Amino acid sequence: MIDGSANASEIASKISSGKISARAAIDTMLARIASINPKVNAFTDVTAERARQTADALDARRARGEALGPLAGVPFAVKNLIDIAGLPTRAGSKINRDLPPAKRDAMLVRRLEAAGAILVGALNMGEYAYDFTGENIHDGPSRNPHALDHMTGGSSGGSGAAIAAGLVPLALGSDTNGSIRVPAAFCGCLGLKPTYGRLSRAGSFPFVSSLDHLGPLARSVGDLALAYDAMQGPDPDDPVATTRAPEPTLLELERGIGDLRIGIAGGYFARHGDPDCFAAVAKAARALGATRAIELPEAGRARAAAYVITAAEGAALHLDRLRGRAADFDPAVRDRLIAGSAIPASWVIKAQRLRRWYRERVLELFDQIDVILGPTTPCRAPKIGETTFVLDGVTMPVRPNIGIFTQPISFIGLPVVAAPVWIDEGLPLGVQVIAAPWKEAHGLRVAHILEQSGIAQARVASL
Amino acid sequence: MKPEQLSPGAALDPSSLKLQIDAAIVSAGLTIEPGWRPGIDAHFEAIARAAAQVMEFPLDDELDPAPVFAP
Repeated sequence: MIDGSANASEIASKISSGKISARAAIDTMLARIASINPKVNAFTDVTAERARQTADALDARRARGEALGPLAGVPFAVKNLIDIAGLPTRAGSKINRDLPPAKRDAMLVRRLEAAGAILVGALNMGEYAYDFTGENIHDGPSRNPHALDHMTGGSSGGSGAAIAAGLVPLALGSDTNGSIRVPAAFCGCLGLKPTYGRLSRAGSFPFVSSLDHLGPLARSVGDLALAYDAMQGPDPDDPVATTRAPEPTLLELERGIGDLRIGIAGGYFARHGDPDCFAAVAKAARALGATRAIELPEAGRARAAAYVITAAEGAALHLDRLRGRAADFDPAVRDRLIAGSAIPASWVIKAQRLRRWYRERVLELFDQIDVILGPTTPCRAPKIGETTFVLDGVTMPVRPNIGIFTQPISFIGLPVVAAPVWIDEGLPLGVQVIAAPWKEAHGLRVAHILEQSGIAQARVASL
Repeated sequence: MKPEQLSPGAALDPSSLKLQIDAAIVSAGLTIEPGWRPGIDAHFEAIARAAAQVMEFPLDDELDPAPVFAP
């Protein structure tokens, strides 16, 4: 049988070889979701009947001798801004529940199912993805499986909770400013934010088109690579989806890192956080033999520019809803969006020009280095409901500032593997393994070495 | 490098920020409850502080904005 700690590759192997049926695997996971989800509030919809039908179809295909795909029978779930046919795509909101049900699955759901995976449901998230906490006023907060009174991080909070609670081995999230990487750090799981444009966003509810990415969360680097490889490919339905040929990564993992130059982000990325977050980076750097400090020029200004673009594009997207149904928003999101509606165009255009400048400077760094390590979050998961924290001696609001280290990276679309690192018996921290554009394999190879050396660990919580 | 002559300090004047919000609410046709305003003001101040960091940074005129449209 399988249990909550089984990885996607183990489940696919057992189902492909006939050791267990897809139906048995799905029934086991559905029972686990029914029993444990009430504690962590990861799922907002469980698509049990659909999952059983897909599993039965998969078992029938195996009985006919057909190949089932690399993700055969792997249960997965998606952040509820990703379309699932037959459900309204709520994107964490009350307002979107009035939308008609999605007519078809999002492209990434279709690609994962084409590889044999089985969708089991939709996952909780911060409203309209404008969130780093995992709190949601309509559905209740997702809860950190390693400490139920602490945040999961967001906005893909249900995705992090579902992975860390062993409810699924694979989940999809979205990341505009850190929304895959933050929950990966707080919940102690692995996440991949690919290069901007690498994976299709078609069939997902947007937030900031300039910055939106989709990507997987899992409990092993191999599973991230499996899922990522299955989801690559062009898609005319997403205007920013790349036309580059897919670049599979799974077989790259065994290449080691002997040819990779690894640095440590200094300057901005070595300030503004608790000592614990820098200790996690130092632990990873020691294991990799990395000593060279790399300074990303004007990272703080880059983060500021991402902040402005996010507020302006988010406000523009939601203006009609703010006009007609302002009282139905989460107040924490509504007030930020209304503020964003007052941003002059000159601020946004300058921010987009700064983005061009910063991209050029950072790409120059990749002439000297292949991978850069940095902290994911400035602290461990705060308690649910905390609104302020102290960073580097300064009291600041929690919600916008959890992403201070993730925003300057996604701002220019660099691929990042978020690796969970435990420095003691407390809650986990995260290390960003940052690579050059289109070099996801570099980040995955480094994360794989961290995993093999025991530094990066995705643990299933005892619940 | 052609430095842009901008005064970020002017953008951070609290009364000027409130006027910007007032104008946005009117021009966008938004209706807000009085209790929402302190939160909106605080968020806009944070955005304006971030924008000041962006606006004060000199950039060449020739530097294209990052988004590219492919016809």
